[in-house]
Amino acid sequence: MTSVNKAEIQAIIERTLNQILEAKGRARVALTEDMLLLDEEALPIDSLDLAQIVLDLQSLTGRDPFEAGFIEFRTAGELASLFSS
Amino acid sequence: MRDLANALTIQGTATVISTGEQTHTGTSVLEQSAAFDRAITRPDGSRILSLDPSPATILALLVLAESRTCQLILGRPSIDLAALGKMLQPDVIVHRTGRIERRGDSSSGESGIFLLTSGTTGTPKVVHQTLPALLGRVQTSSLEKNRGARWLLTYETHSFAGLQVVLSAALSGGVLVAPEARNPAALAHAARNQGVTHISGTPTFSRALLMTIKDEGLPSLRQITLGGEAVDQATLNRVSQAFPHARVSHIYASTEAGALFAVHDGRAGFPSAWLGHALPGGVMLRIRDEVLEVRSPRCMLAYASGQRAPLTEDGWLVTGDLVRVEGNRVLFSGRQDQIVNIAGLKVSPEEVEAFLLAQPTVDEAQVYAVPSPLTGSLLAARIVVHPGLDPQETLQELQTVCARGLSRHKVPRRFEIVDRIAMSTSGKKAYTS
Repeated sequence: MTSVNKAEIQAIIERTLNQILEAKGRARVALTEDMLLLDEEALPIDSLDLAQIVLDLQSLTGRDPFEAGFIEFRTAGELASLFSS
Repeated sequence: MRDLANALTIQGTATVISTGEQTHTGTSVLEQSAAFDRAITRPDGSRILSLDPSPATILALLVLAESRTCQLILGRPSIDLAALGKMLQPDVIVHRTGRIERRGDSSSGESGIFLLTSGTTGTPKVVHQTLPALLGRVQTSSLEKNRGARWLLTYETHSFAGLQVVLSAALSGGVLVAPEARNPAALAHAARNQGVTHISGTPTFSRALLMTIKDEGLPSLRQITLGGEAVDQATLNRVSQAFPHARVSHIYASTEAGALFAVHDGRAGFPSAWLGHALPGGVMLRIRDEVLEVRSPRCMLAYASGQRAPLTEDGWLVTGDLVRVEGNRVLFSGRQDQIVNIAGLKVSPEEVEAFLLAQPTVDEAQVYAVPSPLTGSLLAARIVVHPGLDPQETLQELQTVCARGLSRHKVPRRFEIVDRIAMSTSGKKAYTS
């Protein structure tokens, strides 16, 4: 997969995120760009769940923006940018 | 001690090795051995190297090692001779076919069998064994009962496990069935065509065998022995079910420690009552920091290649196998060097693999670690789905079963459905990421 736009990346994040929430018996959410990903008060997911989202992105896009080391991201929009740039 | 030569003499013109296309008799193996003896003129011991020898070649070399002072160095063809160092440079190379090549004329007064253990990178480790130590277990097990048995060679001939099978077959007056191709399909075909009664192989091999033979079974099979990897209960159950007339055993052995014990009760692991006192053959077992440690008269003390042996201060060999006690049973949890750190918690991929193998929809599973920028690692799984099932439905069910039955950090986060899982040349699951 070569060119993946940010909207497609966000769709992947939203899908995995909602699968995780459903499995936990929590309500689905609509993804927004400024949604904080590791703020457990705002979003009931932990680092394992977020790792799952990143792994899905890596698998589905064939890209690994973290190959050279960790890059900080806080929001869904920042994560999507890492995979679409 | 000429046990091997005597057994082959008794066999005479009877077949002792069958590759399917070729057969070797007791007499022809003895003749081959005599030819080696004539070609190696040094009287005081030569260093003989044979990489990936054929079963007939190795048997002839073992007969030779029984009758004269020599060092036999055995290993895989990929071994880097230069890396062996001066100590083990061979005088004579015996090729797979039995062809002899002279190299040097160094002196070595000592007898022994040197097994080059794998190691995909770096210097191979060299384990010094002796023929009596290799024969030890074979002789104490009931050879008389196995008379006339037909053994399938699933292991590499030059490996510790392969040598045990070759020696067992030869000493009990049996036939070694050793097809040229060592893939599960060829081995299953040979087992059926040649009426194999004894199979010794890894649990991974046994699952591949079950997938290959499907429901047809192997009516001639009387004994199947699993070794080389920890065996899980689901695999033991499946093997027992597929071969209702065979005894199913699993053995615990390593190149470094020799053969330690065999379990015949059809259950994974071994009785916890075996811990802490001497077992037959002088073997002792104990658990330290969740790792199995062993003592045996056949344990090696150091690698001949110079690496330090994993010995404790009080002389126990650290196996690197993680164990836990559940009730009256000691169960294997995986290899210490395979442990993965996931979000700060230690996880054994093999334990998760056993969980997946326990699902009736799964014929084979491989669990491995993938790096994660957030949690260090995550587990991923490759699955061979039982034939006739819908792969996608099975996958969804499996994900649900994992989420329910495993703690969160142990749940594989990526699944891949595959037709088969790669096996290394030693018959074990090739661990890759």
